[in-house]
Amino acid sequence: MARAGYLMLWGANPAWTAVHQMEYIYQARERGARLVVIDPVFTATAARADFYVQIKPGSDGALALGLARQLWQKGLVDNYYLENHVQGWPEWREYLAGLDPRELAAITGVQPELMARLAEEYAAGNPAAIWIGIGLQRHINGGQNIRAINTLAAMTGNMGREGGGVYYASPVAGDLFTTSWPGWMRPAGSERQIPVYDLARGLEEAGSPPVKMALLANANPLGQNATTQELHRALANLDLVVLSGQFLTVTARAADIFLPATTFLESWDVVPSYWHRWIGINEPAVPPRGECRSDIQMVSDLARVLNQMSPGSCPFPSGWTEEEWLEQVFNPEVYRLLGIDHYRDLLDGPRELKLPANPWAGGRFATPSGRYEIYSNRAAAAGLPSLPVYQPAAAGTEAYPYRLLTTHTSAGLNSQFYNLGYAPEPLALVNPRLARERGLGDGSPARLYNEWGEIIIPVVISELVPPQTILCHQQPLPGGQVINDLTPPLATDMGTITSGGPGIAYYDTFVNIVPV
Amino acid sequence: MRLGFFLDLNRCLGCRACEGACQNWKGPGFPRRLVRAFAGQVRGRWQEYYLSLACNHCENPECFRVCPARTYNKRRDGIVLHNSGRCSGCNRCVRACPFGAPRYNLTTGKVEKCDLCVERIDNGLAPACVEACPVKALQVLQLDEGKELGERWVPGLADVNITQPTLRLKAPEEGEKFLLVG
Repeated sequence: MARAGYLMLWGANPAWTAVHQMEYIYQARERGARLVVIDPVFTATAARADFYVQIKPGSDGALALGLARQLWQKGLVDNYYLENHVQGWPEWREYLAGLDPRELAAITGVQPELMARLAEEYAAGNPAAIWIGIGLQRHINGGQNIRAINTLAAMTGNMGREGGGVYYASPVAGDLFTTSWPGWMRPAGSERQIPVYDLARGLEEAGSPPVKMALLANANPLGQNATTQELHRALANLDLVVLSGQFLTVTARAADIFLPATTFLESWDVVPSYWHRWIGINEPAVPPRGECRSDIQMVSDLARVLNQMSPGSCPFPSGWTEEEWLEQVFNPEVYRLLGIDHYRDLLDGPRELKLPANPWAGGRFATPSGRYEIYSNRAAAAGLPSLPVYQPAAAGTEAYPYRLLTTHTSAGLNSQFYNLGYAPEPLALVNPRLARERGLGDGSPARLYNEWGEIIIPVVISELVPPQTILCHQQPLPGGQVINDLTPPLATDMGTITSGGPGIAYYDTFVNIVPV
Repeated sequence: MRLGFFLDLNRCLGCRACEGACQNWKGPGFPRRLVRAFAGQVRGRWQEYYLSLACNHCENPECFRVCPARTYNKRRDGIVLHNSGRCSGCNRCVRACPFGAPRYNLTTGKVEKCDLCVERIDNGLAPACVEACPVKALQVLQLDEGKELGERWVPGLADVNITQPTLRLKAPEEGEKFLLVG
């Protein structure tokens, strides 16, 4: 990223959520790169940008289309790249030609002249990089929006350029460890999926056989899932809820049995990342405290007991130590890419996987056609449009007109670290116009509510939040209130393709607000 | 040669790694460096930035002047040192410092403040806070006569006219901003 000549951060706020990456952004700027931030909220990162463009939440795809149309119209595309490495350019060009710039401006709130300027700047950047923030996927049209942004890099040839391309979470490092798992990790036909975005109803409606017990690990669903009040009732209706964890979260308090799990200080682990290519090893600093055990030990012992009760009922290995598990997950391919013979070599320090910085530098893509597929048959087969055409995000209703955004603070990661008490006072940030409409006073408490729940929280009036939008950073709320009480059970559009199941469209939550 | 901290307000993210590193290096108690957020109108425009402040190792240290026990001294390189052996915990320096650098430690009954990690400086190392900064916002600079390395004061900082800190700052720069009309 330090080699980028032009850097567009689209919905990413690394100044708060990826501090380690800011140094590379500063390096790029010192070499003359222009830093552009596109975000509904004027973030700490936006404050450091050369150019900030505010956009209506969820309309990112429409802005990308506006830029793509400009690139095509002004001849700012890389024709050689399009001809040799891209599938679907003629269809895409035709679609772009039919778009009305004024309509796109109305959807996004970004004027056509500003779109033209952004497109020209982006096309002139050599190389130009785009970093797409994770928040973009939290809409019912998030996947389509990201596909539309990706086309900008394909159209300009930036996709394959060193220092250019598109940055997003990459599953590559983690997948290296799981692709070699033997069959018993995924027993055929025995798996039933309940979608995460509607877990409450999924648990209640599951028949043949019904769900009677839940074993929860590494999760805080009563804090972080959708419709948390319904989920509370669904869990209470089960015969038994067991949770393994490190802290007494809201879910741990609702569980029948709490099993204390070890922290990284007490157990072995591998540390890959979805952001960089380094692999580390975690060596325990102390033996497990008290009755703490690692999740893998708990599951191993459970498998052992199940097999005592009914021999052969559980294929999961039960006798391995944590280090024997490490022997299993480090496969020859991982060792080759790391240039080591044994995982213990990583005790000297983490090592970088020998993978290209830009995986598409050769112009060959991991698609059926080997090209970058703007027109995708796989998308069509999955029930999505073949082209990344604009699909609207959810809209408010008369009863619940305001969109609720719940982004991260610099002091936490979802509900992790709530126990530390570092987070600033929880506040609902609202645009001045919204405050006038609803008679909200700066600093006074307000009730946020919709058909799923309600919370009471002090209001701050801020011009940095877009109109008709309420921003509550994810942080502990007073009185044990849970912000996701308000989150409806809406599915994201492309989760099934990218991570095995639809995610929760958190940012398509709509509420109303009144002074208390 | 005089040494002073340099803080780039464009780079600082307020992550407080400097605070944590100070506490780790200096041991229990409190960090000798604190990160404060500034938000307010500056020449008619709203500005927000972080001020990561420790001892400013002033040219005219007020702590040095008011201490009845002659606890403070200033080295040739400008570092202001506090000799805890002489400190009676009278707190005059705590009240006198415009920047709140010396703080009273309840458990030792004495005052403590940043010494620019003098033991590290003397071994050619950067102070713990500087080393920990992930974005190189915080540095130690040599202040030579006649060379201006940055601003001496920004809004949010106490008066610098009396004690003349060796702290230098890079003031925040602002980019273009397009907000939705609503």
